[in-house]
Amino acid sequence: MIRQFDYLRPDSIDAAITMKSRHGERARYWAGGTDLMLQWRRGEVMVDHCIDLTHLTGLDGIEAFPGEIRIGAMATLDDLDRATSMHPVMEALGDTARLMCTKQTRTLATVGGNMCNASPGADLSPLFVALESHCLIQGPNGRREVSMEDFLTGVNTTDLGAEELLCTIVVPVPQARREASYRRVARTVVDIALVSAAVSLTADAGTVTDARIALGSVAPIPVRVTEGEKVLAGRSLDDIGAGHLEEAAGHAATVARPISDVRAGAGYRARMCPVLVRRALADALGRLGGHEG
Amino acid sequence: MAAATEAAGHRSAWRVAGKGIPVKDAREKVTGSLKYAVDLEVQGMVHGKILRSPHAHARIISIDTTRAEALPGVLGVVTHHDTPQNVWENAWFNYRGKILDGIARFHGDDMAAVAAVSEDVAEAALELIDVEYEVLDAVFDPEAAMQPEAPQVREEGNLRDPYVVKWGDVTKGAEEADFIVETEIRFASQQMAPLGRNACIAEWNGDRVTLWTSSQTPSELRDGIHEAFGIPLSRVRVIALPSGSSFGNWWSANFMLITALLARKVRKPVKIELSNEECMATVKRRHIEISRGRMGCRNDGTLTLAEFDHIIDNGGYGFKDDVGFFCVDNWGRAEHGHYAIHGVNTNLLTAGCMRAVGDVTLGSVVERVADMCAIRLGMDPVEFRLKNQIKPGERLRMQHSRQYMKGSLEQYLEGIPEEDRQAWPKLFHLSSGSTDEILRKGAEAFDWSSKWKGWGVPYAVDGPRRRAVGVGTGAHVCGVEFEGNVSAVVRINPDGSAKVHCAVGRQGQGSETTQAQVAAEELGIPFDKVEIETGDTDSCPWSHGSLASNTMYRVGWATRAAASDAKRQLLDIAGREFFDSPRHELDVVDGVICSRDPNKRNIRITVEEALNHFRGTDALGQASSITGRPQGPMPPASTFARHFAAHFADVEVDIETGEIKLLDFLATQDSGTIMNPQVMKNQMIGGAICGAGFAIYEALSFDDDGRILNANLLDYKLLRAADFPLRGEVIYGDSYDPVGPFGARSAGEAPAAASGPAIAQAVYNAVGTWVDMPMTPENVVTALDTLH
Amino acid sequence: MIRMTVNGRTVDLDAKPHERLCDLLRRALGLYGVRVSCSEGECGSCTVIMDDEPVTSCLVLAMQAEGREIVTIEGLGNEDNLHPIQEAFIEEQGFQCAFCTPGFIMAAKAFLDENPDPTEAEAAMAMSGNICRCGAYPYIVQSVMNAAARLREGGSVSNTG
Ligand SMILES: Cc1cc2nc3c(=O)[nH]c(=O)nc-3n(C[C@H](O)[C@H](O)[C@H](O)COP(=O)(O)OP(=O)(O)OC[C@H]3O[C@@H](n4cnc5c(N)ncnc54)[C@H](O)[C@@H]3O)c2cc1C
Ligand code: FES
Ligand code: FES
Repeated sequence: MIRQFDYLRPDSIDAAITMKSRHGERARYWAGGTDLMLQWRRGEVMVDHCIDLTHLTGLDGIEAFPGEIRIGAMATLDDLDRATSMHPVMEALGDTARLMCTKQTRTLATVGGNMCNASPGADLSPLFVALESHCLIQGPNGRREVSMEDFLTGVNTTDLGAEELLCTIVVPVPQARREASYRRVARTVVDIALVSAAVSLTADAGTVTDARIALGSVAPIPVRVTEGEKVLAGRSLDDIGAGHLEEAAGHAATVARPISDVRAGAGYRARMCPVLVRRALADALGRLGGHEG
Repeated sequence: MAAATEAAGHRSAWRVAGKGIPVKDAREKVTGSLKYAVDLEVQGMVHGKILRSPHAHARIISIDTTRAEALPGVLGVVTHHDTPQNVWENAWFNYRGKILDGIARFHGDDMAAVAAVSEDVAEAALELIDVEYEVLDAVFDPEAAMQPEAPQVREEGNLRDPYVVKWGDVTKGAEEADFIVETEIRFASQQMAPLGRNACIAEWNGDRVTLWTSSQTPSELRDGIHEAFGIPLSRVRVIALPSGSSFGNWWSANFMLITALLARKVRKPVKIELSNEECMATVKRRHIEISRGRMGCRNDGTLTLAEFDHIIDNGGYGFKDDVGFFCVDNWGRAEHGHYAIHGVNTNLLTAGCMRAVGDVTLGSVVERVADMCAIRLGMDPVEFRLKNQIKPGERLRMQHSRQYMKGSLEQYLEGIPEEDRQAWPKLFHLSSGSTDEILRKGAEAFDWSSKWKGWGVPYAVDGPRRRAVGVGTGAHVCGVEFEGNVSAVVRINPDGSAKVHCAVGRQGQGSETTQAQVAAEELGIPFDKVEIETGDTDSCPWSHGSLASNTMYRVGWATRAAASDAKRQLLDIAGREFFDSPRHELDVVDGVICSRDPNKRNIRITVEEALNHFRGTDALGQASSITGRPQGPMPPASTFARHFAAHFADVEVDIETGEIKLLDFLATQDSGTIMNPQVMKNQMIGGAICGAGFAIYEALSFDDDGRILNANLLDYKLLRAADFPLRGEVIYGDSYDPVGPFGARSAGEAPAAASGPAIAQAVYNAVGTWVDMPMTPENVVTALDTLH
Repeated sequence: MIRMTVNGRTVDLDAKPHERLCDLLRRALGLYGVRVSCSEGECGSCTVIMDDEPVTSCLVLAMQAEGREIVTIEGLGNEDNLHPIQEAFIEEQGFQCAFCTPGFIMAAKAFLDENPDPTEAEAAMAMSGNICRCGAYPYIVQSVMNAAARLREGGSVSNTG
């Protein structure tokens, strides 16, 4: 069979959803195409209709609102990199974007695509989870919201309904100071993470009010290290010592459920979790002014 | 060597040789106008695609092409039923087999092919070929494949006769040693991962065939077509185009022969263009190698014994019994030694010569065992190398007969007249060069003495990060003789320009430029007036092409000899017609013929004038040209010539994550005269990066069915600009070779062999234990576990 | 028919719905300097500039480029009239086989437009979106630094011998 598809260009979100409803399963939303093009060419994904989202306007902005930052699903990784100065939480996102892909694919790859493709190794997902983000979704039945933790459901699967479109990722920015960090092990300077850890620490009046730790590439979806988070939450910044970081990080090893593949063995991945968590915590803590940073 | 010193003294007088001239095709290269085979089209051409085996070892029981042939747009299908059943061979036994014979010997092997009006149709037709396979037992592990009861990959059996070299008496070598160290290393397979892919177009005119493809070995490909199709060589023309990076991938490949087969079937020009995955999973790779070695050493640091046993897996179609052992030569001062190389077939992708074959792997083992001796002694590795590595005039450790020869080298040489051999260096002894000078210069430039803190001692510790330095050396041959001799033709045109015809590759190593430099220097004709044809077998005499570091040494020898012959003819004419002098009194400088006789200083005749002497002023196009070719036999390079590299690495290892960062790197090399430093620096650093990639990340990964899991650049990791230190500085040795053109030897392979050992040693010094290659983060962490 | 601007000229092209931009540029316009090697976004050989941004054209659908402005290596300079970046690559010999070179030069162009006075480390990072299997990296980075200097000095697009 000759591999080919029809090309559709919606001029609005509604039009895109209508097209998807009409053409069904093998109609695909096409964003940057940096995942989809490869999957289609390898025969992993069948496409009869390509619904090109790149000519849509209004989905690619990154904007600050009171208490939150809204990242349009069609914002590229390059846009994310350029938005670093908007807010401290955006710094971690920008730093992460810069680790991803290559310059000439960051100009194509979208933030929404990274989430919807839902690869266990996607760099942004653990960080969005650590940042308490949620998704704004639109479908034939209107709009809805879902937390990023619930949005990602498995390897290449999400909570999106067949016709639904991811429109926006909302990153909350609390009143209190929040610092985040993302650490990964990769091979060359351009690589998919072998294993990764994202953390965010929120501090109010010198006390950690909220700690979130999420691991990447060690399970189908990002894994929260809740026991580790508890070690830090409620503690004053001045109190937190190397032992606390070590203890919090230690819990990472127990929740990771990695697999072995061509990139790395399960044992190595599991072993790196505490190391990366400790380092990411130290980064965030350092920015908040803690001793052990 | 007095003659060499004298000749080296002439370097300052050279006008073209030794100059960093931009490569001939530089403008085409930076504007993107240079054409590779993938860019070529010919009138009326159609497209071919290859059906690939889904099994690692299987026999076709039946194959039905009816449905495929019925697909609109399909022009024809070839299977083993319409394939001549002749065996063809790629150079140096890199492939030996039939074009299609109905047997799959590796996953992805060629089984049939379709020609159609478009690639899409051809691809769709592949799915319509109905094949019934009998799946056969397969063997993937080289040691398992050596067992007599193993599944046999080939009719000839899996195992080749070993390549064995002995000298002295190993028992004595062991007795004389104060201590003996030994190790075993298993190397994964490196992939050439050629950037730029490849394509082939074949067209038959009557019973003559022409092929256009990117190849380093135009003559060898012509020979392969002749063997496979059983047609006279005179009916085969290969036009080799420049290739992307090759590292040995693009010599002759079976897909090129399939293209010719399809074109004959459909009687139209056919183009087969390989995908990146096909380039990485169906052509070639470096062998999987398993090496055991030991060395004996005295307490004063003198090696007494060197013993190695080395297994190489040839995959499905490789047929090699040896790999580069020039690393053993390099450490061959040990008076007693023995090594054996065993070639064995497996049901994995065909393996063959990749850049510095053997010297990257066996070389790493030799360097490792030598370093283990130095560790026992607590001796500086630079010093240990200076003490134990070969110097000019010393014995080379090689066998005197080869797989493809009827008798020994001595028997072959007996046939060559004594007077022709007189000027040759002493056979089986190193003619010139060594690591000596470059180790000293390199150590100084790298500030080795202040960074080297002793074995297993980093020079800096920063939290989990350890920094340390290492040195590694590598050697490789300068071309291998026999299996035919190499020639070249140099024509001087009536307008005073010249053209070199020599069959070499254009895979980026700059031969189109350096060969032209050799000819221009010899002829005395300005470089801009010397052009070159490298790819057309109808105009270029036979040559191995660009493999085994042949090009500068052996083709360069032929090019210089051809230029010298042409110049001799030119000076005969000028002497007779203008100077009334014998030719030895004349010379050509910048395209002008002049005399050494002070009384004839005022006579200045251009080359153009000399060649147009008898032509009427208004007769256009009547003048004749001169054709020069080498006279006499070519000296057998492998029996005396080597090139050497010494590399210095500064690394940082994170002992928690196992990540390695290269902080600094210095490459030094002894290749005799450097014909073109611009070309040379790239050969050195490019080689270093090829070796560094192998040392840290590069390894093909196979599943339990012998399928390659990472035939893509996402998971076959190649280094990038920010992964390798930016110091572009390189250092050259100053030796002068007695045979190579203007004292030059070869360049491209020793640097690929030296960098891995340098990095491995630096990592040892950083963390206190050896890490086997590839030194991925995971392997580093695993190796560190053995410390505790 | 789709319309786009390629190397400063408006062109109407007959693109197939599933055709990639790299294939269209090669097939319909003969722009063979747009090189295709990995087809996976990894190697950067196929880099072109689309609306001032570097993109790997093997991952872009031709239809996505409708209405956009594309610059390929052919739009930068030609053999009689080299762009300063091309001159710099020759001077530093920032290539061997050169299959990768157009992609590197286009990436360098986009980078230097954004960062005319980079450090070596920045240049090395910016050149890491491309692969040079021949390993000319240190000289590629030197070429970019050399080009940056030429462009800062006013870098006339001139003819050098
Ligand atoms: C060279 C290279 C390097 C890479 N490196 C990294 C890396 O380091 N880290 C990393 O995480 N990833 C990496 N990737 C993967 C990829 O670039 C990212 O996942 C990217 O963000 C995907 O975005 P896209 O716009 O290209 O998605 P597309 O390929 O267009 O789409 C991906 C999937 O999401 C769906 N989709 C896209 N947008 C929406 C939407 N708004 N609503 C509903 N469905 C949608 C599509 O239908 C498709 O199934 C790399 C890819 C390449 C080619
Ligand atoms: S061909 Fe497009 S990135 Fe390699
Ligand atoms: S020059 Fe050959 S790949 Fe870069």
